Amino acid sequence: MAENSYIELLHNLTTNLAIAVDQVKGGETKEKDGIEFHADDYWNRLGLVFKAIAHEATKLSLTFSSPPLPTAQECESLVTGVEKTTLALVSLYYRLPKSQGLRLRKSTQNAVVNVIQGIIDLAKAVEHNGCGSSEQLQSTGNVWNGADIFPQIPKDNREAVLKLICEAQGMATDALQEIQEAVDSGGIGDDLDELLGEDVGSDNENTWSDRDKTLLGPCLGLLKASKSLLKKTKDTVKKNACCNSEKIVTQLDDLADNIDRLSPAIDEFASSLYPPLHYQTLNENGKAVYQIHGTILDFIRKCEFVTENDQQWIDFLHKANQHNWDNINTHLNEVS
Amino acid sequence: MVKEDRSTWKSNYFLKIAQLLDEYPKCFIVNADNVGSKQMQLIRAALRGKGVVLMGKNTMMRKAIRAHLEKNPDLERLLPCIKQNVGIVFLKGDLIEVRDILLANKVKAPAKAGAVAPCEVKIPAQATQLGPEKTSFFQALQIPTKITRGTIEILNEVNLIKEGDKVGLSESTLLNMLHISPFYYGLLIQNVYDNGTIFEPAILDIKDEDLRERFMLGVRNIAALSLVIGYPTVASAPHSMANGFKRFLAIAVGTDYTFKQAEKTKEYLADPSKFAAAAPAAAAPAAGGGKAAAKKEEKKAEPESESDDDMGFGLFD
Repeated sequence: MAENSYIELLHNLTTNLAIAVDQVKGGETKEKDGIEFHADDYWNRLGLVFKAIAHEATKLSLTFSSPPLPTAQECESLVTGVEKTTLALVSLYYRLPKSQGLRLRKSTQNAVVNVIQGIIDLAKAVEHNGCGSSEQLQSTGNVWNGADIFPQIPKDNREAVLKLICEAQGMATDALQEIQEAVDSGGIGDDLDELLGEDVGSDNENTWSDRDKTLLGPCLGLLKASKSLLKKTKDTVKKNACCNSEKIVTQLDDLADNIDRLSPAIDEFASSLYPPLHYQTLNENGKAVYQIHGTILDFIRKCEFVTENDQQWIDFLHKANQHNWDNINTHLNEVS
Repeated sequence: MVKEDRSTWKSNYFLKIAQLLDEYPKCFIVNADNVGSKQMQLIRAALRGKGVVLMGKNTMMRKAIRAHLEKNPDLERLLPCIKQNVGIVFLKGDLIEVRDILLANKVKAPAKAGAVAPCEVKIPAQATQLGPEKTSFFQALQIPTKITRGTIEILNEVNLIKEGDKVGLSESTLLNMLHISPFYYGLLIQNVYDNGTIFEPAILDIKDEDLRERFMLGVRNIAALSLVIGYPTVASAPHSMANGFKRFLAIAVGTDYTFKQAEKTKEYLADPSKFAAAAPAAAAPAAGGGKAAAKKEEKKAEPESESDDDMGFGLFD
């Protein structure tokens, strides 16, 4: 086959798929709410299309794994196969109604975009590097990976929100551990200089003063409250939330929005704890964490899926949050 | 050069990360457990011109990545990966080349008590230089030994530590006494980020054979479906032919009718003892160890496997 003709076909394929990716990223669902949604049927179908797209990637990659190049007709049939499967994937994605939850939609969107992007990368690798490049094999692997993880992607809003909480919990635990380790080592050698591979000297700027150290206690307490809040919220959502009511689905989305704000606030607060302390920044960052804790606790108390038993830990964390914040303020007033 | 104050350093750190995120489209998230500062220096030197290692506090790295999300929203996928003792190796060129540099810069290390074994540890049977007073260490680990010329001899190869197990104090002491440093530590790739896509490092090792294997899985499915519904396809044709041949063979065996390809089977069924006698006779020269015999064996084996591949006997029976 004339070399230019397959390049043109692949180029057109990447252009068309890029449009599909843009549509999926920015598009709204066409499925009207109120029409009955059969979850099992939907996810079964979507799973089959994910498998089909992995097969299309295998066919495309194997055809271009070594010379001779396919004929124009063969290449066209391959490209048509990929386009048809992608179209099926995009149209199935659009059939997921908004009422199933925004977080579920976002997670499904990511999975869909991942596999289509994998096919785009594969076509680009063949277009630019010819047959059998390592980039071609890697992008094929990416499509397989994207399709293989389909059984693990969230299939309802509860699972989607749980995944988000788990990620936030992982980051909050990591931040707390990091600061705890820094406190244990006295704040020396905070690795900043490792960026340039320089040795870290020990001077007053690198260590906390005795006053700073008293302030660190309640700051760590606030971070511990974040960790507990995420753990307890995760347990409650896991145990009690189910997506059979539209109200709960919406509440889960709102909870996720609040949790999205917590992780960056924790990191901001934690990084302001390294010496030399800047008290005003610390105050602002601590206040942000304290306020987000309060918002989440107030919100979760009103959620339909929260039981009487949950009120106990909500009350406890409210008090812990307030106690630590008050302590931070007391110490800040002393040092300033 | 006057060292800038710490606060300026902090803000410069974020600027530096932003610059790295702008400049490099790919990176590895690496685990730096057990990697010392000297080894890190060697890794940085080995990567010079090919990649940049960024270590630092996770909170600060995540903060810097978040600050860059407006410019590149795909970086969001990196955030949950920045956990525990990790760093980032930024690169522009070939992922496999840089991965190989990281693998080449692993350093031998002793098995410290409490460490999780990255590989299994075996002690070969050997005469050690240890005197009889150390026997108790071996007894504690139930390793059979004997005293030979005043030193301890390990009688059999010992599987001391399994991969993933925690190294115990006894195991650690014994390995140190035997001067065995069984582990290799270096920057361990956990995730690969390439222009917005994040994936496992195993994907870097995909070969043409994996492609063929995946493809053949699909072909087998098509062949199976075609055979079941009786719709011939290119994938099912060889199996249909093989099945047809087997039916011919069955007719030939059950009747007096014969054809060339069925003669050997019929002969075998008529007198299996003839073939039973031939089998040890054929095996004997091979066992004798002559090169010619071995070659003959190889030659004999080839057509058998070829015919298996071609006919696919037993696949869809």
